[in-house]
Amino acid sequence: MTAPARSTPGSHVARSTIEDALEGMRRDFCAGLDARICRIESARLDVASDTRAALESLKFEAHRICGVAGSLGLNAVSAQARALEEHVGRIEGRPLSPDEQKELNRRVEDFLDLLEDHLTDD
Amino acid sequence: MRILAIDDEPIFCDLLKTRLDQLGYTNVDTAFTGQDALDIAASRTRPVECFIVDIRMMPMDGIELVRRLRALPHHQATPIVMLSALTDKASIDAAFMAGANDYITKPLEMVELKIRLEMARNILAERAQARLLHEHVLKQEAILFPSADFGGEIILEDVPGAVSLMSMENFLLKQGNIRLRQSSAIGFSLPQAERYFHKMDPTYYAVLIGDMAQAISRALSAYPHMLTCPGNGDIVALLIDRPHVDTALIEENLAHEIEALRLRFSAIDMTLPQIDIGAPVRTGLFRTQCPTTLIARARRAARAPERAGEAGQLRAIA
Repeated sequence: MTAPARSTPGSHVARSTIEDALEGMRRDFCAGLDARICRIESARLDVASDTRAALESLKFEAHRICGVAGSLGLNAVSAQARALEEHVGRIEGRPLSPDEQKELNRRVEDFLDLLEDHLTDD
Repeated sequence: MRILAIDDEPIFCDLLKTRLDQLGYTNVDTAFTGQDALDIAASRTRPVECFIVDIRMMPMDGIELVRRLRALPHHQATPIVMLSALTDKASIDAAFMAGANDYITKPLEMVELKIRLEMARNILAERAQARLLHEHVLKQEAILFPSADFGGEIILEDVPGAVSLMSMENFLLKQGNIRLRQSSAIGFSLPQAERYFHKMDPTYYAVLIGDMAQAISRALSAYPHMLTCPGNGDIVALLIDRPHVDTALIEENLAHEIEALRLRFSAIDMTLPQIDIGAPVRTGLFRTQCPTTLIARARRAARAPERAGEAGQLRAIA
């Protein structure tokens, strides 16, 4: 039996209502991950030909995922997004060595794997 | 309090709205672009009382949006809280310099959100008081403003770089210790301020302090700076990313600005008070003091002669 929804002191909305809303948002976020995965994959493929724009795009996507995922309680996704954003921040603005490209590829692939794990069909 | 939250991630806007509702803020609108936000902000019939702005948006970023909001006459003092996953100091500086009052980072923390919105409410209250003073000046009625007190903060409007004491403290608290070392604070004090305060209507006293702050801001125009009037006849300037400043040049500029002000005051048979300048103060690398003590130290420096280990007065412009 589920306990009835009750407002805690100082809270305006019943906890279960909030949890339901957050769960709905988490589902929406996960269902929309495929578009984000496509953009990241596309940026990764562009790194060799248009490094500056591709890195900027990777950083932007990682940044957005970091903020939303963390606020929705998807902490692992948020942390890895932040790590990727910071990594791109360290290497942007100059040509990448083959080793740096390889390392970037590895990081992006790991991140994409994590996102795919969270992808739902909703 | 009517809040407008701006973020180009619709899910984040929904989340923010839910969280704000949870905190009791039910009058919340959202916008996904800077332009939409400006359209909503332009309305005077249902004025926005607090903005929550994401920094990283496309095509107009949050910092540009803040600049444009501040250019709207009715939003020059509306609380603006920046929101972003960014933690780099350049973004924090840019947000404050554009006119933001506070800054919180994503992921969203409920406690932090609650505290920041309480601060926004305080700014609204200060703004209401400043508006009353302003209206009083416009009416030019020589009646006492009952809540005015000599030790109370004077909120400045229309002075470049002017922020509330709370905004300056927030800015200092957001700086890391090493970064804080790159900034310096200069205190300015009017030693006869209390006499002026008791002789004048508090409203006109506030106008006098505002004129002095304007002169200081002009004298510091070569440096990125913030300015606050914490009360007791003090004005504190925070020079951002300027550990070493040309104090001789600042003194010379200020003397020049004060001279121009003196001519205006003498035209209405009023003597301009003396202004004392303190030596710039900085935070020590290994000091464990709260960053906001920089403001108190700058105020002390403007009032006291130089002592061992403490900055003191540089010059008095009479």
